[in-house]
Amino acid sequence: MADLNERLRELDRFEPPDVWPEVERRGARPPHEGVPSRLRHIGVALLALAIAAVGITFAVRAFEGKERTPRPASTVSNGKLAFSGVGQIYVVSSDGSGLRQLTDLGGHDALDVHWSPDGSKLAFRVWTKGDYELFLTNADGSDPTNVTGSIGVSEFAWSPDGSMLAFTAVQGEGDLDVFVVNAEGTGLRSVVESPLTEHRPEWSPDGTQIAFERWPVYDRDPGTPDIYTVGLHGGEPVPLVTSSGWDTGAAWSPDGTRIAFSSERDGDKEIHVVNADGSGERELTDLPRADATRAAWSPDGTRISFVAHDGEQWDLWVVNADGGGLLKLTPRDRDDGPAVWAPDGNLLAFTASQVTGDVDNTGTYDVYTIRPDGTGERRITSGRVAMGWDLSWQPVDATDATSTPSP
Amino acid sequence: MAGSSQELERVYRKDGARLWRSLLGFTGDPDLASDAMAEAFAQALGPRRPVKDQDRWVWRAAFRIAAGELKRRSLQRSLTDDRSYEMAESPTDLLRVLGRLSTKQRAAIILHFYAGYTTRQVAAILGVTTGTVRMHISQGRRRLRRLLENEDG
Repeated sequence: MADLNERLRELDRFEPPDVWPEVERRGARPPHEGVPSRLRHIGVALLALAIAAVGITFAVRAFEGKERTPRPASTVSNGKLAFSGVGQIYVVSSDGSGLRQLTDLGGHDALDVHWSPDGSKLAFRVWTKGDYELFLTNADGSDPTNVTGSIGVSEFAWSPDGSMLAFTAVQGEGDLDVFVVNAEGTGLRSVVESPLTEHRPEWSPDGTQIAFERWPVYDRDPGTPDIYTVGLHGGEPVPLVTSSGWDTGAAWSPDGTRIAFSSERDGDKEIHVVNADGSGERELTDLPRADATRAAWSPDGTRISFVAHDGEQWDLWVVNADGGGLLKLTPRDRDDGPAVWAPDGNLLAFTASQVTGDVDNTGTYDVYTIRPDGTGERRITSGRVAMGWDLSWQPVDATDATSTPSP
Repeated sequence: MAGSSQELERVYRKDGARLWRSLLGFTGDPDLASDAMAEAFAQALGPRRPVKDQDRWVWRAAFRIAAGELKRRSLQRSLTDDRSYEMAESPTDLLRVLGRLSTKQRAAIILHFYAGYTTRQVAAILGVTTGTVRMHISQGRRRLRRLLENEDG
């Protein structure tokens, strides 16, 4: 008989389904709802395919809203791509050259990397002392500095002028609230405090408002996640989208007049757009039996990229901001993550998990680029160096060559 | 941070595949493995969410949920002393053989020999003493060896 450990490794042949969309759905369900039965039919089919590979998508909420600096695209060129690899932050040029590990935090995991709007700094979270803290470094990885002290940070976003960061965190025994802090680490204060759970702050391009998700507390509150906005200087949050379904993932258009988001109204999630004053909501996509999420605007505001899960895998799509021109960019047999737009708008970058025969829970992604018309796809890293969907594209001022860091 | 969906996604990303396969070995049923895993992670977003060690908390919740469903199924079937009844009819030899262990033996064997947890960690996940875990591992291992020898033979 084979050794017991070895025999049990036969379990590695089975390909797990991606149940994270289901986790999110259940995590927000009102208490009276039963357990959805959506998983019922996928398991057996996957079992039959088991020996194929681990093509798992580990959904990583990370990066929306990095192209929202209200600068004319013509003055911005493309810098480096930053992403989280195994435990650390990496950078690579968009042609695939100059791949290197940027951070070395002594065994502390770093993730959720966001370039500052001027491309001079990187913000990311670091696991220290049992919680995630928000760190900034220079573009070359030097001078890592904790700007939030010991408060545990969840999602965060740069202000458009790079002077502040908004983030969600728990204070005391409460739920997640929205806070802001100056980039120097001073002036930490709450902007939204509520008994509900706030997620994913997204700064308006003029810097005066923050959009965020407000979630009901599981097993306590009825309802579903909604999208609110709040003024930077306080006041009551204003409901922006409060449908009976799931409303998440707010993304401001570059001119600040509209907000794209993901909404579940009839059993699956579609991309919607609403004016910043809450009027004129419309559905941009109508994909049958697929969940569309992670909307991201092109820098010129004419197009929106997003990902959709069709029950089998994630694919990357684009749609015009008026709803036309719907295009699946990556009709491949693999899981593709949501895109970040190049600052000049000519390329998109995303991470994808290639289906392979290997069994590996970490570093299963590589970084790809593709043109917005679906041509010219390139894999710019190899060896599955990326951890998930976490990706950010450095904006570089085209008129100031000195702001480009050396490779 | 406790209970944040993003921290939890990180646990899911790092540990999801191993947890799902462990649950598959435990239940023999991919649907139940998926269901228990999704429910455990969803509960970790809730008011009873873990304040620390989210990964261990999720494993414990997932195994508790899966064990509860196996128990519910066994009660429904009103079977008596054959402990293999709990698992679904399994498509592979390994899952079928695992199904002939008791629920606790199976959980301990998979968590220790497949997932790689120490007996102390297995005890924390299953909510029993390390002595109990050692007993289940010892008995389960002996039984499993016999069953696998028969399969191989």
